[in-house]
Amino acid sequence: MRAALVVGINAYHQAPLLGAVDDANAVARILATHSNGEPNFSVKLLTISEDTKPDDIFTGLMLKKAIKKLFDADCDQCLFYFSGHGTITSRGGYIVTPDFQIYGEGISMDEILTLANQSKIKDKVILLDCCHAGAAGAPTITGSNLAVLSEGLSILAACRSSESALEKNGKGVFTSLIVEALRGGAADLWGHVTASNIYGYVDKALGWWEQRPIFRTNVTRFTSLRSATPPVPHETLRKICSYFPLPEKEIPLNPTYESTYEHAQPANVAVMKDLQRYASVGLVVPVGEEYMYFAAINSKSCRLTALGYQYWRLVKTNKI
Amino acid sequence: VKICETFGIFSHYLSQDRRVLDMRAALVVGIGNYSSASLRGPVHDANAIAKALETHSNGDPNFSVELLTTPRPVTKPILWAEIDKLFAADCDVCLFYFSGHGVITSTGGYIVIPDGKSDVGVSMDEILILANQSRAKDRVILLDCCHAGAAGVPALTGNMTLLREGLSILTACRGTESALEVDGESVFTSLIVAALQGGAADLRGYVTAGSIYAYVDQALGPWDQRPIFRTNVTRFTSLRSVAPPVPLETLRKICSYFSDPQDKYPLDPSYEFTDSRAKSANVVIMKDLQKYASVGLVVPVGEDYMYFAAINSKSCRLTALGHQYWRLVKAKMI
Repeated sequence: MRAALVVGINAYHQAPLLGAVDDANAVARILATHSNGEPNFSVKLLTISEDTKPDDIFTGLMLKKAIKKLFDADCDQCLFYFSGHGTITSRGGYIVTPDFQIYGEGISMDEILTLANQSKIKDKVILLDCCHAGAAGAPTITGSNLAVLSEGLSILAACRSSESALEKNGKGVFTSLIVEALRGGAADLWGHVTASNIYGYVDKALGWWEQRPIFRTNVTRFTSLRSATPPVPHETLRKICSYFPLPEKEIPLNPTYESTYEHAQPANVAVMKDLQRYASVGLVVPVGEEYMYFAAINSKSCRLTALGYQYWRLVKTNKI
Repeated sequence: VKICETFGIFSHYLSQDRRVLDMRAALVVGIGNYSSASLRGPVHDANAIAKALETHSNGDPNFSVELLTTPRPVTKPILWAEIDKLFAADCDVCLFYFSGHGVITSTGGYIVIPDGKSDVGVSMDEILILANQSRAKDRVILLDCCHAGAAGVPALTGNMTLLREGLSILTACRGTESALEVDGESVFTSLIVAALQGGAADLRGYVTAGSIYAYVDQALGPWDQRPIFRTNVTRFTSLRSVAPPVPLETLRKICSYFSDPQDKYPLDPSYEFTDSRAKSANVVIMKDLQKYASVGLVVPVGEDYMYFAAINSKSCRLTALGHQYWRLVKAKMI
């Protein structure tokens, strides 16, 4: 059971945004299903754009209730996403709702953190794409200096508490990177996308002169937020231990493994297909040659890489 | 002030890019000779970690390592003096590794010292205080001992971490669990060493605290000890670099082959050197494309293998990962 609350707000009276609602829609869409179409998060989407009817516009209080409901939900994993304005005051950071006023800016990031820290849900993820998002997770009472996180909480924020988050072509830069990461850009060979992989992806893509994304976590496991299509089918991956009975042992090759060779043997060609798939994702490398093709033609061999050894061990211990 | 700031950012940028210039210090401690319950693994573990941290895979110096292992005397004052020195050091990255016994009491977690008859040892809460006060940009704490998970969660707060920006903590197990030893090597440390040796490297060859944790997490099942990751960072710093699987010069050409990330690169038999129609210029390009394919940056379209994509005049395109590296090259970040 997984629940997600996805919020995007464009329609602020004095400072309307262009991309926040589109961002929320994109995040909601990518979280709703795994890449094979199976349902993933049960998503509640709340947006306010120019066209939103007055009756559908939610207030700060209503949003706070929705956030509380999310962290109180009876589920294994929950995720809160917000795209819109953020602000920082002497009392801490706030995510801003359209009914903001001075001393009523919206919802306190410290209060969101308290709700998340008190939640009984095993995995909690907070994704904030707004200015000053980095205030989330480091409560003002600690001098905004220390991250205070209960077990199972991960926070990804678009920028430091002192920075502004960027929009490019009507899309939040941070969100568009998150959506790509979830689509498969940050997937491991098993197809899993975790919070840390997403951060690694976003961190690499943003340079030192741009906004600096923030990652705060306290976990005893990395939970997959979405399963993307694995680059190697699971059945093929599981055969790795039968090809390599010992992880350090090389597999000798010869021309009969190469399908284009006239004396190719079908059984060996089938093995070679799997080995080439392993090679195509960095699990296996040819020894003494640059390409698997030449390793076969010149009767060389191939071996597991460090990554290959990791997957070998996972298969050996029935973890995948 | 402005100039100093600008220079600060600039030198920071440089140090990230040329890791050799980085000032990096590591204190690596292994204690095995406990009188009541001696351990075989810690000294071996500490040596393996020190060796992995000392140099990058190309032999360039990486961490300046202070190795402290028994049977050298390790008393509480000796260990404290070293920990103090580490976190007070004027460096960019500092790393503390400990392998040995750990214990948890009502006043928090402790690293156990052999002389600790009347005194449990070094308080994990006090290590956290020093790590939080340190001026090093990145601080990493790796603990391979029982109850290591108490590190980063002061007894005072019950079950909340308290981490200042730049601190990452990886521990072998939860506050309540015991760490495993197999064949005189601890499981957690041997996984960290394998990750540093390249198992957790990205395509630039960088190994970060996040990728190490992902590596260890995957290798240990839900029934084994559960490793813990606590972090508060604005960047993942590379702890070690290994030879990238595709040479960086080859990687940098990705934008010239794909002027737009959505482009398909059309292939035909002239790209396949085993074909009689092969053209040498195209064969060279195909070599690069196959290298991209070998690390998942490029996939053939409509065929399973690049070879057939060429022979049957299909094409190839960037994957989601390929798009990421395309963007990095485009932005001159690789």
